[in-house]
Amino acid sequence: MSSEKEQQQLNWLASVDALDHSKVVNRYVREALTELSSENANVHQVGILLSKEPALTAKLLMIANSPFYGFHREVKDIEEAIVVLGGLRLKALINSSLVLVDTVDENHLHYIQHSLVTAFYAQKICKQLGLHSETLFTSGLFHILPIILNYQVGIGHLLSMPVLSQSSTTLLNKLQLPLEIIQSVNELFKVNSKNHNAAILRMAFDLSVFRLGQDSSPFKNLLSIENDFGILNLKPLKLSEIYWDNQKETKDLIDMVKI
Amino acid sequence: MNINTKDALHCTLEEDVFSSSGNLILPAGVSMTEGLINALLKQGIHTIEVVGMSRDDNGVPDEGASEEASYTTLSEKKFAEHIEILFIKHKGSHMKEFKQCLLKKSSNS
Repeated sequence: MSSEKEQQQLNWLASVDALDHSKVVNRYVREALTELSSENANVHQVGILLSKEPALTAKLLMIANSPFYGFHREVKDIEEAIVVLGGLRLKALINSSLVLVDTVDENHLHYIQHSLVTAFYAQKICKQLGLHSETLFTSGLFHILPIILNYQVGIGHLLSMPVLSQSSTTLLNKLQLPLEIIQSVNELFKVNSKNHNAAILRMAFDLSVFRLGQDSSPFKNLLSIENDFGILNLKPLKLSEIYWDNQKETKDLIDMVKI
Repeated sequence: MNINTKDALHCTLEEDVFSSSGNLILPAGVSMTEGLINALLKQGIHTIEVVGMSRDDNGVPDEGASEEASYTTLSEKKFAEHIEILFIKHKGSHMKEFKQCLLKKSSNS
């Protein structure tokens, strides 16, 4: 017989499965992402689609002017964002907006902040390793998307590794994200995974736990990254430098999404 | 470090605490409250291992010094305490080195 906690976990997983994904990614955003994925993407058409959603446009501009991109001058409108970012980074920008849900719950906000900071550190670790960062950036953004989109008070005590893994796999499959992203996130929550992408995500996850601090991190334990230093051939000193060299940028990111 | 249980208020357990019959009473990582201290004393547990706070000869917490580094701001101290708690269960060589790098930079920043 399942315990009460196990039943609550099952109920929450069922509610993740029941999420209407058309509300997560609305029609215009879906069309814009489809257009950006095509071989001869028409960015003008993308701009038209995105401008149909003013609230989304505002979020996109906020992210475009965030430490994710580090532009020296302000990006003022969506057309400029399209030109400055280009199609590939615009996709990442749109994906970033999906985690920026409105909330008045401080703990909910901490999960959103954790996602953004994890994505940021995943980018930085990829840069250190000389790798392209798009997949890991999106994986970092979305690794706890089910919690962000299907948040409930007290969710923290239900989040075991299997629950985190199953919920993210369910939702990311529904959203038809690329397989590499789904696999990366799935492997992230497996203790002995030797998956290269998952190793980067685990390190980014832990850096985010440090950065948000004891009071604000929604996660109170680290993921074990002892083996990941060897998998990635990354020295602990280098990882600590990534943490300390980006204090201002991560603070700006955290402050970007306050209640 | 090993301290008297009665002096452990607000300290964080570094190791699991077991009863004389071998049952786990408190896991490592728990922050000691007055209630927990009284409970352990009733079980006859008069000394426990706690994380990193240095003390003078009378057992009073010494807020101004530590073995790894000296922390001059409250945020640095909070960061260091958070790191100590997070790394309790991570004893591998790479994690130890990573922890030291983080703490060293914290005291230098």
